[in-house]
Amino acid sequence: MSEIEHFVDPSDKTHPKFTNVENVEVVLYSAENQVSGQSAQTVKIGDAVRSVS
Amino acid sequence: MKRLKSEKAPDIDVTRAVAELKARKNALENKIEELIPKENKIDRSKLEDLLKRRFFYDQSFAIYGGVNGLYDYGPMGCAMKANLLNEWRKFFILEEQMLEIDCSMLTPSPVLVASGHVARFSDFMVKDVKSGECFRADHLIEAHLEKMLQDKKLNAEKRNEIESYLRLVDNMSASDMQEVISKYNMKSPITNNDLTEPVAFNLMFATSIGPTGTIKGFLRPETAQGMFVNFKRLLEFNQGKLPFAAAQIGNSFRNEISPRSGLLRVR
Repeated sequence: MSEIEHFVDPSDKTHPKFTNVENVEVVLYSAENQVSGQSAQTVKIGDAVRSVS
Repeated sequence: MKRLKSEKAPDIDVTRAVAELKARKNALENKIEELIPKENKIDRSKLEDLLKRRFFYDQSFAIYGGVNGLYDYGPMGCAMKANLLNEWRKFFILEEQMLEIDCSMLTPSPVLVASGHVARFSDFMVKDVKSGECFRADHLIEAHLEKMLQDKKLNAEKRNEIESYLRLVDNMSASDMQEVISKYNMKSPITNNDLTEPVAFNLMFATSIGPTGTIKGFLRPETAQGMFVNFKRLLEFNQGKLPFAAAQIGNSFRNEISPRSGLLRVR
């Protein structure tokens, strides 16, 4: 298997390549939704990041 | 045809024209079929047979009867694997300048206790009461619920209930699963016998390291631990700058309850 672990500074989450992917829509399945039995949602990456920080 | 009918031509003319029309219709259909490309379906069993004959991969220790879930790659399989890993490296590691490491596969027990694997790296298992065959409880439940959803006569309320159970299976505890199993009266998919209650089965291979056997360890179930444990050194290597990513390519070991789907669920 091949695995990748990303390490991020929690106080500074900027990334030089972020603008390339900001508007890409992906299917995300949050921990909340998993536990409550709801299904996955399609979100833009930019929105997802903003909703967490 | 219409002209003939409107002129009330003698019957024999009409029948002849009908026959002619039918013949032309047939010819047209044949022509269309020829021109449409045939549906290209891949015959899975034939493909698997080919891969084994050409030794892309095969079951390990086949001459000794083989062990479920263990596979050997042959020369072609190795070459393909090497190419695949090459692409993976180019796409992830080089492109994003990730830090690749290669760590030990044997892991001492304390590391995996800290990561929570010793306590929680288990799947729930049910056994056939008579034959003793083991099944993964969550897969069994999912298969059963999905089969029930195929029933067209299911009313909406039951359907919603089944669908919500399906989504919750991943998070169920042993008692939750036992509830669903007894509620829908699930039996062994092979013999239709009763099933035991779900028990947790830890998926790691345990071993002891060293001649005295005092150092308890496990074969790593995933490659992530090596990256976490080496975080400090990697941070130093990266001049103390965050963010960075670490990557590892290697084998890991899971004592699967029932390996399935060829190379997709192995031990």
